[in-house]
Amino acid sequence: MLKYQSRKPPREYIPVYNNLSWRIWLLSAVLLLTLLFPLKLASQVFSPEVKKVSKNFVCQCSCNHQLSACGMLHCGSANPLRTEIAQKLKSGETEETIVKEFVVKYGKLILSAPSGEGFDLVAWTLPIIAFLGGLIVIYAVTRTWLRRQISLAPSQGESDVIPNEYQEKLKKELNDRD
Amino acid sequence: MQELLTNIGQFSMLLAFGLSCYSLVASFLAGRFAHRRLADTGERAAVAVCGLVTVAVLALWYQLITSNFQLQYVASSSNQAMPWYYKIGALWGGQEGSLLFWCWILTLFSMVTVLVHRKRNPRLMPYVVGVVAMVTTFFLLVNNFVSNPFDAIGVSRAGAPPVPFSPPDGQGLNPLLQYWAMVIHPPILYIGYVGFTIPFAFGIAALITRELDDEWIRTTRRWMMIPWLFLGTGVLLGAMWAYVVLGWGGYWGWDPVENASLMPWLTATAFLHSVIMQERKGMMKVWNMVLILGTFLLCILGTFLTRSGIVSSVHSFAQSPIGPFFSSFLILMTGFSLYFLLSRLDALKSENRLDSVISRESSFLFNNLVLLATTFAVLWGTIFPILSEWLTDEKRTVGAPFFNKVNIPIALFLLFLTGVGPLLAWRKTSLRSLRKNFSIPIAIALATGLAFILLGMRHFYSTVCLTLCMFVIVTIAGEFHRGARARQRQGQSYWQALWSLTFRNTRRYGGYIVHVAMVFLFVGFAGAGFNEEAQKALSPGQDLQVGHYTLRLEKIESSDNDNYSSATGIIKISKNGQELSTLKPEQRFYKSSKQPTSEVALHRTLKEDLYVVFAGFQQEGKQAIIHAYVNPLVAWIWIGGLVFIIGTIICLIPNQHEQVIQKAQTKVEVDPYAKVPV
Repeated sequence: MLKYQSRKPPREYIPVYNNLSWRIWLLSAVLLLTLLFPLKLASQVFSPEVKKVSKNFVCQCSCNHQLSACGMLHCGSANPLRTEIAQKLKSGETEETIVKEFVVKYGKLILSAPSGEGFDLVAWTLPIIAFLGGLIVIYAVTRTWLRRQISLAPSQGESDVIPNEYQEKLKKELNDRD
Repeated sequence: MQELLTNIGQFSMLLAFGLSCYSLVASFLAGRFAHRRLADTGERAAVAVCGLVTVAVLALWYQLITSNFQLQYVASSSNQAMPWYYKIGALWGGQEGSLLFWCWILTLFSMVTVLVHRKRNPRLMPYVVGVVAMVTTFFLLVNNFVSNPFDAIGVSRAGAPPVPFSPPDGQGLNPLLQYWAMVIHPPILYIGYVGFTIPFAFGIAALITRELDDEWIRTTRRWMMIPWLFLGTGVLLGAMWAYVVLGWGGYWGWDPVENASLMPWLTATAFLHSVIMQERKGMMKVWNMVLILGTFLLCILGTFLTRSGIVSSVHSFAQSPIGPFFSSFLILMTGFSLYFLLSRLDALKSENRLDSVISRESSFLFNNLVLLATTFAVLWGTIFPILSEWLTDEKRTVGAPFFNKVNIPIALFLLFLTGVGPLLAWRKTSLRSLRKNFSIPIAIALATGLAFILLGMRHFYSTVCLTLCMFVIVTIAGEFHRGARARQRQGQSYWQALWSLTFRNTRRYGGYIVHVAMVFLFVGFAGAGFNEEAQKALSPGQDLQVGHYTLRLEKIESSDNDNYSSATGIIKISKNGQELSTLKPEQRFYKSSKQPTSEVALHRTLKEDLYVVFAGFQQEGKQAIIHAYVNPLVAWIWIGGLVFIIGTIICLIPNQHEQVIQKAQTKVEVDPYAKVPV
C-alpha cells in the first residue's frame, strides 16, 4: 500500500487548526464576516469623465481588463486608481497630463496598450510588417504558379496538331477495318 | 474505502505511466521494423492506459464527492457545502485535477483512434500510436511526479516524517467557477485542445512513413474538424461565462487564456480551408503540414503560457510551477516536428499551378494569410509583455485596445473574403461571371450600408461590419437558392431541394452554414460599437436611466445558506414607460473562500441585452450601487454559436460520394506486414 506522504510543504493554516478547536475558528469567522458583510461590499460611483480617462490604463488586479471595465468586486486596484483619477480631474488636470503622471508613478505597466514610441513601436508595427510580408509572399507565390502554368500549357494551335505517329496509326487501323 | 480508492488511483496512474512508456517504445519499434505483433501490443497498451486513467479519474471523483479533505487537491478545490455537480466539476477546477482530466481525454482519443484506424490505416498506425503515447507519457509524467491530485496533506513536526492530516472542510471551488457553463465549458475546451493531438500524430506518421497520399489527408481533415468544433464551442462557452459571471459587461477581454484558445482554432480554420486545395488540386502540401503541426504546438504553447504563470491572467486558478516541464516538452516537440518536416520536404513536393489570380485558389491563399496574420497578432500581443521585460527590463501591458486596433481591420477583411470566396470559380473567373455573381450582393450590401448611415449610424467599424455581413449573407443565400432552383427542375419542392442539396454535398453546404454562423458572430461583435452604460447609487424607490430603459430599485433582500451569503437588488425595469420585468442582480459572499462574486441579471432580446450588476453598497448598506449596460445584438453571438455547431456537424456527415469511397476502401484492405515473417 502506498503511504500518504505529501511532496509539498504543509499549508500554513494546518497548525492553526491543530492548536485551536476548528469550530471556534469557524464560528468566529462566520460571525465576523456576517458583521462586516455590508461594509466589505462598499463601493463607489465614478463619473463618465473618470471612466474615459480610465480607458488609458489597465487594472492591476490580474483581471487584464481596462481600468474602466474591471468588474471584480472589491478590487484592490481599480477603486483607488479611479479615485486618484477623479481627484486629478477635480484639480483641473487634463487626460494627457494624468496619463503622463501615471506612467512616471507606476511605470509603463499601467498603460492598457503600448505607447507609440521607442520599443513600444515594435508592438504596433510588427503585426503590420508581418501582414505586408505575407502579402509579398502571396504575390511572389502567385507569380511563380502563374508562370509555371503558362510554361506547362501548350502553345497556341499546337493542340490541334495530331502527331505524325498517331496519324499513321489511325490510318493503318482504318485501313485494317476496311 | 477512501484510502483504498486513493491507493488504487495512485497505482493506476503509475501503471498507466509505465504502460504508456511501453506503448511509445513498442509502437515506434514496430513501425521501424514492420513487426505486426509488436504493433498490436503497442495498441493494446494504449487501450489499457485509457482504462487505467479512467480508474484514476473515477477514484478522484469519488474523493471529491465524498469530501476526502485528506487529499490536498480535494481540500483546495471543494468543500462540503458545494452541490454535487460542482464537486464533479471540481475535477477540472484546479491544476492537478485538470491535468489528469486532460490526460484522460487524450487516452480516450487514443483508444478511439486505435479502434477506428487499426485496420483502415495499418501502415501509419504504429507511428500514430507512438506519437500519441509520447504526449500521454508526458502528461502522466507531470501527473505522477510533479502535480499529483492524490497527494495527501501531511503535517511535519521537528524533522519527523509527515503525519496524515485531514482539515474539517475544504477551501471550496473558486466561486467564479460555480456557474453552470463551467461544468461543461472546460471539458468541451479540453476535448478541442487534446483532439489536435490526433491530426498531429497522423501528420508525423505520414512524414515518417512518407505515405503522403490522399488517404492520410482525408483522415486528418475529419480528425481536425472534431476538435475544431469542440474548441470553437468551448471558446464561445467561455465567452458566455465571462459575460454572465465576471460582471464587466463584456464577453471577450483578450486575456492570455482566451488568446491561447483562439490561436489554435484560427490555424485549424486555415487548415480546413487550405486542405481543400490539396484534396482538389494537390497543392499546398507543405503548408498544410505546417498548419497541422503548428496547431498542436500552439496548444502546448498556450498551455505553457497560461499554466506557468509567466503571463498574468484572470484564470489564475490553474497556475503552478509546471512551466519548465511544458517549455521543455514544447521545445522537444517543435524540434521533433521540424526534423521530420524538413527531412521529408522532397516527399511533400506538389505541382502548384495557378490559372488566374481571380480564382477560388487565390481566395484560399488570402484567407490563409488573414487567418495567420490574426494568429500572429494575437500571439505577438500575448508574448510582448514577456519580451519587453526580457529586452528592456520594463514590463508592458498589452490589453484590449491593442488587440482591437490590430485585429478588427484584419477580421473585416476576412469577413469580406468569406463573401467573395464562394462566388469565385475554380481555376479562373471571367469578368462576365464576376459581374453576374457580384452585382446583386454588392448592390444589396451598399444599399444596406447607405440605409445604416441615413438612419444615423456613425460608428465606422460597426457600419462596415454590418454592411459586409449583409454582403456575405446574400452571397450564401444566392448559393443555396441557385442549387435549390436547379434541383427543383427535377421535380422536387423548393424546401425538399434545399434539404437534399445540403445533404448530398454536406461539406460544401455545411461549410456555408458555418459561414452564416460567422456572420451572426460578427453581427454580435458589431453591436459593441453602440454599447451604453450608467452607474448610480440607488436607495429603494429611486430610478436609474440607461438607454431607453428605466430601472427602479424596489428593495434589497439578503439571504444566507451553507455555501454563501447574498444580497439581491429587486429591480423593476420599464422601457418607454411600459413595464417589462423584474431583474434580480445579486452579490454573493462565499464563506469558504471568503470571496465575493457578482451574479448578473439579464433582460435579453434579439435587439439588445439589458445587463444589470449589483456593484456594491454605499452609505453603510442603505444604497445599492447599480451598474447597468445596454449591449446591442449580443444574442446573435450565442445564436451564431448554435449555427456553428449545426454547420460543423453537417460538414462531418459523410455525403453520398464520400460514403462510396469509404466502402471501396474498407473492401480493399492492404496488409502492410503481409510479406514480413512474424
